[in-house]
Amino acid sequence: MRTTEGSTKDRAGFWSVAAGYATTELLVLWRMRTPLVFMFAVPATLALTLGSAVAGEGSHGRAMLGIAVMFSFTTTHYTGLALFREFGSNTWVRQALHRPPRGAFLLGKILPIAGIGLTQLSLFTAIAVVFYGTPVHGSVWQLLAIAVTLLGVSCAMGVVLYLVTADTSTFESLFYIFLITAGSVGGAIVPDGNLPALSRAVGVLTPHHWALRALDEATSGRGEWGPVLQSIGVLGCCAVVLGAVAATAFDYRRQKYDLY
Amino acid sequence: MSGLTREGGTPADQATGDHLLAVTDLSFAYGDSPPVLTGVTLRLRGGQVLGVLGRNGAGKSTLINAILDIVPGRRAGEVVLGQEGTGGDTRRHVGVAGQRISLYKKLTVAENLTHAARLVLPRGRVASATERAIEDFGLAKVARTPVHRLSGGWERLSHIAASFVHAPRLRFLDEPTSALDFETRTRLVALMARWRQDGDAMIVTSHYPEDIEETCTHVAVVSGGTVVGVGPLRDLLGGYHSELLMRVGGEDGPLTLRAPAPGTVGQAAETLARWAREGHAASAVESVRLTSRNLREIISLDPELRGSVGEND
Repeated sequence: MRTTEGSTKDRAGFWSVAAGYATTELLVLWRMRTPLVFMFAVPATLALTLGSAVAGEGSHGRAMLGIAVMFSFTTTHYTGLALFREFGSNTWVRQALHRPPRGAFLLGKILPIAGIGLTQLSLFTAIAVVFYGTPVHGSVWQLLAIAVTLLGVSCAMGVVLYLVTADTSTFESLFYIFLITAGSVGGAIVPDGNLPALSRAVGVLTPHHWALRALDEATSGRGEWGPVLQSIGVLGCCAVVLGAVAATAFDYRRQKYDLY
Repeated sequence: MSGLTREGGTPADQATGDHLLAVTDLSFAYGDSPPVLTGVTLRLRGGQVLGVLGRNGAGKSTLINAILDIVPGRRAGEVVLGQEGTGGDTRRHVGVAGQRISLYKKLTVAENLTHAARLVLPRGRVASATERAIEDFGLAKVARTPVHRLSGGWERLSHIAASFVHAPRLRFLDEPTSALDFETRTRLVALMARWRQDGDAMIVTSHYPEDIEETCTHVAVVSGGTVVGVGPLRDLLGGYHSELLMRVGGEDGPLTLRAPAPGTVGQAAETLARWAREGHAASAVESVRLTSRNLREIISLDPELRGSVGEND
């Protein structure tokens, strides 16, 4: 099969396309409202109501951080939904026809969601520090690096989960299983030290474990870069592998079904 | 299907390579399934509008999807998009307005147009393209209305505007007038006429023969996953006449001769010659009228076309 096409002059640039998708995504997320509820109100309610009951006596700040990490994975959810939205609104046709750079498309879809995720993590960390006396023995740069790699894993996971599912119903079912199971065994609700041995063993396989290990080091730990970088390295590798799978396997033309 | 051939365009079209769309022996299959489209050959140059007729499920939408390669599957053959002076990226010069509305429901009409323009056009031309689409399609009244609050007609018009906001030279319209009221349809038909005059090429599918008759220069008939006839619309219309009337004067007063369904112009001429042989002198002829059938009538007469109007597929 041969389709003759010309050069790429006189068309939208990479960053213009990415900015276009990012603007649209922000507007949609803002007007949906529910992402803001799930990313801010639900974890705040959980952290305030469960608090030290799950994280241990006097560990309300740690509970706040754990719940924030757990719910930062709602970015997985919203990344997937952002991609399925193209089928719900039938706008996939334009992508399939014009084939904008995949990187620009994915970046535009992901950046607003990652931005909201970063705001959520920052806000919850600030509350833990200001209102619950959680110390920061490391630096703000450590916290930022942890948050960025964590969100990298989460958003890339959203793309991969989208790629392996055909519709929103299956996607959401798998996502909720992941959110609750990984959050539980990864030490996001109950810290590692208080978990049963089996959960601790399985929890090592979750990104939550490595994110919280780095966060614990940067906050109540000694604040050294070594352990933080080790955890960031694990998270970074996951993000790179998932991102490579996402970028390679993504095809505008593959049919999906947004059932909402 | 009098007047149509199996391969697209006129002999002159076949002879030159300067087309906005050239499809040669295109076949398409979903996965490992048998082909749903086979042996399609079409040529379309600027200013030509091809109306695609066919029964439900004949493969009209599949034809568009296969030409544009927008659904995964096995394609064979050759498709050349936009070789008629477009230069640059040819997909930039193609637009498709499918049957289903392609708009973000949470965004306003203007926001949707801007988004669609940003996908294709350089940043500096996005605002002007959006404004122009709003003006051309008469969308000013609803530009700031979220899509989910629009009526069906406004929604479809906004959808077509967003699909063509980048002013493509090759336009695909799948059932463009569905859900449009008379006024909006008239506006769209006028726009299509303007695009044609501007030298754009279009492929239009419709279940309304009036749409094809008003907007198209050529017709293609799709049946059983292939194009079974294609050619200029005037040739198809010229092949079906409802009545030949000849009024002749005479000593006993005027006489009207009537031949129902006289067939092609050539066959009508033979009838006239026969009447002359029967003694109706040419010098006494006061008038000759050949009544053309419209496309809807032709479709109802032709077993190959019957069923191509009515419901959506």
